[in-house]
Amino acid sequence: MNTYDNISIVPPNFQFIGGINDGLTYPLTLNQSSRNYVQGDQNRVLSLQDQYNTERNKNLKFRISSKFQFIMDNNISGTTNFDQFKNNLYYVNPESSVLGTQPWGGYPQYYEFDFFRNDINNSHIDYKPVSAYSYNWSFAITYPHKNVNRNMFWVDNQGFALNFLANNGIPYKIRKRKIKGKPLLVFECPVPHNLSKLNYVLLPVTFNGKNIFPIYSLGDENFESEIYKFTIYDIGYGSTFNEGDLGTFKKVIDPKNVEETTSIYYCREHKVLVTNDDINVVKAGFELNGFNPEKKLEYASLTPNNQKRISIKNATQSYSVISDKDIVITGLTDNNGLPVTKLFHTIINKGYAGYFNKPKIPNQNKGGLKTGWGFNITSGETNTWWQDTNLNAVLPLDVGSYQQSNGLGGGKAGKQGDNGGGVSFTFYYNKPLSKDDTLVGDFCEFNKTTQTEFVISENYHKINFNQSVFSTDIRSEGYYYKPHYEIPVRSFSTYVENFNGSTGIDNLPYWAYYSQNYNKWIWRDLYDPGFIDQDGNGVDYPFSNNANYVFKNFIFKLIPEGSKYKNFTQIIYQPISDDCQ
Amino acid sequence: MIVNKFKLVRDNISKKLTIPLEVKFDPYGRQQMLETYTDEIVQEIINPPVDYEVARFSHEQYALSLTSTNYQFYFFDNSVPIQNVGNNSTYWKNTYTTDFTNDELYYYSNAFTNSFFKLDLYDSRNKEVQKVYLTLILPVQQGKFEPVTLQNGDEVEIRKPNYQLDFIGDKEGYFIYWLKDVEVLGLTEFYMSAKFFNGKTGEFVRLINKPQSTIAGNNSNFNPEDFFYYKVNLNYNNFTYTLSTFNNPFRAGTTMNPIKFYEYVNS
Repeated sequence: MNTYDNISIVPPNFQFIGGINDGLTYPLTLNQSSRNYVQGDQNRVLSLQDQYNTERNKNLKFRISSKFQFIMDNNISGTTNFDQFKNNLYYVNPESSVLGTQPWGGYPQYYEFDFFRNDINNSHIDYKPVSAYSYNWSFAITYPHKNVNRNMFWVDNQGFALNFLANNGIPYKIRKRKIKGKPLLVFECPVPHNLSKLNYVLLPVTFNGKNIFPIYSLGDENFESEIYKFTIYDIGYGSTFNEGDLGTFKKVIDPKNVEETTSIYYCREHKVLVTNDDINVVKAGFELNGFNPEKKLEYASLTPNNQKRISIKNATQSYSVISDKDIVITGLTDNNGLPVTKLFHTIINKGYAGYFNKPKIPNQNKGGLKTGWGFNITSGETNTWWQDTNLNAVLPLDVGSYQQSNGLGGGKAGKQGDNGGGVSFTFYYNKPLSKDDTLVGDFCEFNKTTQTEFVISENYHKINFNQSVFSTDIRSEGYYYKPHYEIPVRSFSTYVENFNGSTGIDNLPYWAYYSQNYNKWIWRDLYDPGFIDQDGNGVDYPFSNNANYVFKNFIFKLIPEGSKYKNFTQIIYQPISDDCQ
Repeated sequence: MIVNKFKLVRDNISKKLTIPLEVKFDPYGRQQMLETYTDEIVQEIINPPVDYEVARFSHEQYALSLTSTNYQFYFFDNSVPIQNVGNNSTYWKNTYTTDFTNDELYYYSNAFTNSFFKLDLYDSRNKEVQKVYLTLILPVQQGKFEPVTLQNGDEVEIRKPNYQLDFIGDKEGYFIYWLKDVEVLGLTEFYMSAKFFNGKTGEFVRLINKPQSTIAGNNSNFNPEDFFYYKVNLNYNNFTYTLSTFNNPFRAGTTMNPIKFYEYVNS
């Protein structure tokens, strides 16, 4: 407060004769130049653990490194007229080729598929050491940013086909059965239905004006059938449901609130955060996978160019994939408007050597790869989804190309325009993904009232041999691989929170869903980093240098056409034990 | 602040004056403000997080797509009297055979395999103020080959101190691992000196960037800042490094212009 010590108050009658001693006023101002000292707020107990947790909880910066075990069976052989390929095959029955009774043929060398190429003397691709890890595959880190609808196609084991959209739900086929004397409609699905006995299903048929039906049971007598089959009690639906009917269903949790409790179905669309330029791939030390490598010596007399060398059909090296760039997920929301809790390693085949990836949309130089989902991969005959005529299966990525011709004497390949060998070949490769490029992903289900996403069927890519340069016995033969590998960076709670008050709404998380019918807000909490609940949900990555160090192990499988595909999980559950043991 | 007007009358009688004060500022939020302020103070008091993570720097591409880093080390021929050190630059040879026998080299004797080159990266060329921040070790098991004859007459190939390091093949000492956050120390420029640790004699020798015979003036009493170093620059845009002679901008360490170090002979 200012002081007024120098102010003299002189009444008017003392100042002037006859002055009227009246009307004396004194303006008083209060200026504050300090503030109250609040004792309690000035004390802070410093705890290393608390400070660590505070910094960790606030931090959304991630450094990602993962280890991939590369597993494949190189089992599709063919023949080629391109000398550079022909001179480097893993030969099958070369004695007959020497005698001229069959053309030179065999398997491409393992390094044509591996993450790492070591063929430093390969003049066909003008080998550069800096590109050793990027000739065959391109790496990226992505996150699901949007839900998209896609045309899908399912062929059952009897050859009956169903065209449907991802938004329609999960495909099924009806069987009419009597189980324990009860007439049941058994719905067989090619993918996990993610239903419980308490759920209902929304079907594309109506009975007495209703199209929502309660589930009677899950599965039949077969192992794990509860994942793929559910039943509805046949109360006399008659011709509403017929043996062999195909269709799609949606899960309904509450038949009195169909609008909000019906699951939505979609494909995730991934957006690129980190491109191949910012990802390092290196050999993971001395780690090998559990299979035996296959090598042999190709004798000089049993090769077309009379060169002795070692051929490798299969090998076992593991790799580390490390992002140079830190990933900050602040402000990012996922495909359902929730905070981003998972990132993905996305791997696409580049195939720079040109064995694969002839574009399916040639006028646009796009579509070297095909895409589909797990239920499109069937053992035995190639699933019709993957036929060249199915443009819904084409992945519209940009394709690059270059040309070469056979050199004189069948040795090194000549460049374009080289008239040494006469025959010119065109080689195609997929261009790496750029920042913010998008790519379709898994087929998923999301339910607003449970706030959970469920992966119905994982996305797969297929590479086919370019028959112009490498001719296989069956033209559609190729390899499948899974492009997206999930990296959990945060975790939602297993419980669902809800709130129906009118005050305190400011504290709701922004991702809370408001149910008009239930008149309440619904959401799942985000677990703090380092917290693992009793079900094992949560993430606990090392936190140091003001960043979270994420590490995951993955298996990258290159699945040959026709193999008995089964997607085993990586989790090996511990045996159940009790005190008696 | 505006207050009501009061009239003060001097009548020598003590008066009590009640002043109604209208407070227009709002103490709401002071608690949160204090907590925020306390957090800031705590951050100042304790050590705030510093990013000590390292990144991998590879050799920046040259000649369109080459990435190898090339080192050549030359040792003084021990058969030449050291008083002749200033006479001829051919006294320095790119071979280990000046210090080891062909058999020791071919059979990788312990004396040979325990030897190595040590490249130290300093922040300054001035010995009085410089600090060493990084060290690269080049083991003798890497390098190109040269043909020799063993004692038993066999023609064989042995390693020579001529390195071509790259992403594949010989790569120990190729990558430089240094702080990912440039602001931690603010260093992007280093000066590289080299020593050879000889496992046979247990001694090390210093190496300089040109043969002593080519040094003008007194070739044993020169300014060390001019002859002991090459320069290393880190590029944080693409996590690469470049090598050059310390006093000019031309690239060194390339296939065309490898980094050359010569044994310093104290004559």
